[in-house]
Amino acid sequence: MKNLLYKELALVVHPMFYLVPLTGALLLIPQWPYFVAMMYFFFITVPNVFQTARTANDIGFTVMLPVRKRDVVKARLYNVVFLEQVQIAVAAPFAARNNALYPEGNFLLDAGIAFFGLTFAMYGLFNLVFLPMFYKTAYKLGVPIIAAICACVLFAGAAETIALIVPGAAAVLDGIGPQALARQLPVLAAGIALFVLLSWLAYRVSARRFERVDL
Amino acid sequence: MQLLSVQNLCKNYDKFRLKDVSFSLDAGYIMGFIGPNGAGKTTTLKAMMGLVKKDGGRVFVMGRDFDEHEMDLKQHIGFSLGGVDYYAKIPLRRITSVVRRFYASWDDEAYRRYIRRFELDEDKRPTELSGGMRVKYALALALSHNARLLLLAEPTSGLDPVARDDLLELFQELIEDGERSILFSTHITSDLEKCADYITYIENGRIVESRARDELLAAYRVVKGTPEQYSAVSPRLISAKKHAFGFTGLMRTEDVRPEDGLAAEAPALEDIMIYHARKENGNEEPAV
Amino acid sequence: MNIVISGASDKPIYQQLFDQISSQIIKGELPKGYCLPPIRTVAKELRISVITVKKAWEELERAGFIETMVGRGCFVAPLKPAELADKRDSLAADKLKKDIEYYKSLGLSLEELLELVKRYYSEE
Repeated sequence: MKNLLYKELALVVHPMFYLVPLTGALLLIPQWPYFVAMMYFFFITVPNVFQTARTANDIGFTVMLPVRKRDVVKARLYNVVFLEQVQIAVAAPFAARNNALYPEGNFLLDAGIAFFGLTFAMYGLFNLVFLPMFYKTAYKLGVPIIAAICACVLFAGAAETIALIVPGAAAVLDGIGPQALARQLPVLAAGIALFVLLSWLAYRVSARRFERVDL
Repeated sequence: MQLLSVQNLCKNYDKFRLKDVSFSLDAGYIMGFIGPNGAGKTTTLKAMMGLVKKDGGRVFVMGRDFDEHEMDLKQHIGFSLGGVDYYAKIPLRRITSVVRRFYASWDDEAYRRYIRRFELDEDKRPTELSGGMRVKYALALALSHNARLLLLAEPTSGLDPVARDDLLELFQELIEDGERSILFSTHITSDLEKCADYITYIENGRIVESRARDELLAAYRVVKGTPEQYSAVSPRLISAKKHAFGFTGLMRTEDVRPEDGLAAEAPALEDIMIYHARKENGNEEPAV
Repeated sequence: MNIVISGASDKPIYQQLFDQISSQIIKGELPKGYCLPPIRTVAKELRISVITVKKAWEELERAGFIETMVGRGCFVAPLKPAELADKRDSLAADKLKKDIEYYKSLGLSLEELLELVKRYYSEE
């Protein structure tokens, strides 16, 4: 795993994309749909990383290495997951600052603990939709990325809507402060669990599809 | 000791098939893999290494099933599909720093030697290298982890005659200790006249011949004769080229009869390839 | 041991190796017990196939010029001068037999042939 991730970070990810997580600063905007801040990851980083890899013939390079064909997929999954974690890790302090600045809360979901649980779930969903679609050809990028973004926007929209209209939902998804912590921690845990599960599933399906691609 | 054994390898595409490709190579020898363009040389190498999903057949390396021990066996294989055609904008130094991490027995000293021998500049990027230099860099990577088996697609293409000669000399140095073997595909048959111990000849997805080079050359004769002689011997010809004053063709040595009165001479590898390919193409006769 | 390989010759390369080494042994240039270089080294140095060298060595061994000692290499066989002379004669006889066919086909009589041999043997 170490070597595969090293390969990705040394060759595929241009250092500039480590700046993208700074979009987490958008969490400082009052009264705003905070999911959007987390979406820059797949608006900017993912298309660019995959585009770079394709232009550089990363697959041609990786299959020369003493790895299995499915490790091409595994390496990229590690990369995507790593960048997702960075995006979340950078956003977290901004969220804390947000909570301190606006104790009155947000008209949409607050940047609280549950919000990050939902973000994990959203990233898991993104991985599940995008990677298997992409590794069907390991070449065509446009449709998979659009489909995955649509799925994530729908997911975020649904989460916001549920919090607004379903009675009781706001209690576990929305709100900040110490009393929200206890209610929201399970959401975070569930989000992380879902992220792990969906990403693993994404890898399994992608790897199987990629095995059938003749290089 | 058998280092490589390919058994009944099959791969079906819409318009092309690899059919029961089988051959083997002992430790300490060089095998040339020849055939016309599109005959299946690269597809065979890719299927052996799992880049292309096999539809049948098995591959054994050092006596072990490749599919079962892929990760371990790949540590002992140096593999290159021609020149470096990846990471065109990244300095060689950085590419190497990634590659070396993947090999348990990466030999930095050997790598430095090849970089010097091939006169490569590690600060350059692939895009700044000529075709020949890209091939050399790919070889330097393939050679620097003490591989027992080298599988190289077209390693000499794009090299000038001096570099090609140097490379073939290097191949012979590599097998001198009898531990290593090299399988390389090429369409430059003169490369093989110099150093190959064995020749595997593939055509239209099928192995036509796989045997010791001298034996292969001894098994055929280039024959020449008059138009009148042609009709008498044509059933025994593999194929022939007719011209205004006679014909030139290829025959198996056992089919050559003194009473035919044909001029028979030893073939070059190229002759064997050309006449077999003509047979495959239906022996069309060009307009005279 | 000196070997010159000609790629343009009609003679197969293993035959060139055989001829040159056997003649050096017959002439005593390679003394008995002389250790021949390893097959793979010869192949590398001469830029020829390992199998070709192997074949030449096998032929030399079959003809009794060299002996293989497992693990130690190939050595010029300990032949007595009389044995060497025998081998020399039999090699010459083999060649002569082939050539005589040709002279016969040209219609040369034994006397005419001997005359020609005498004239050209000393010339060279």
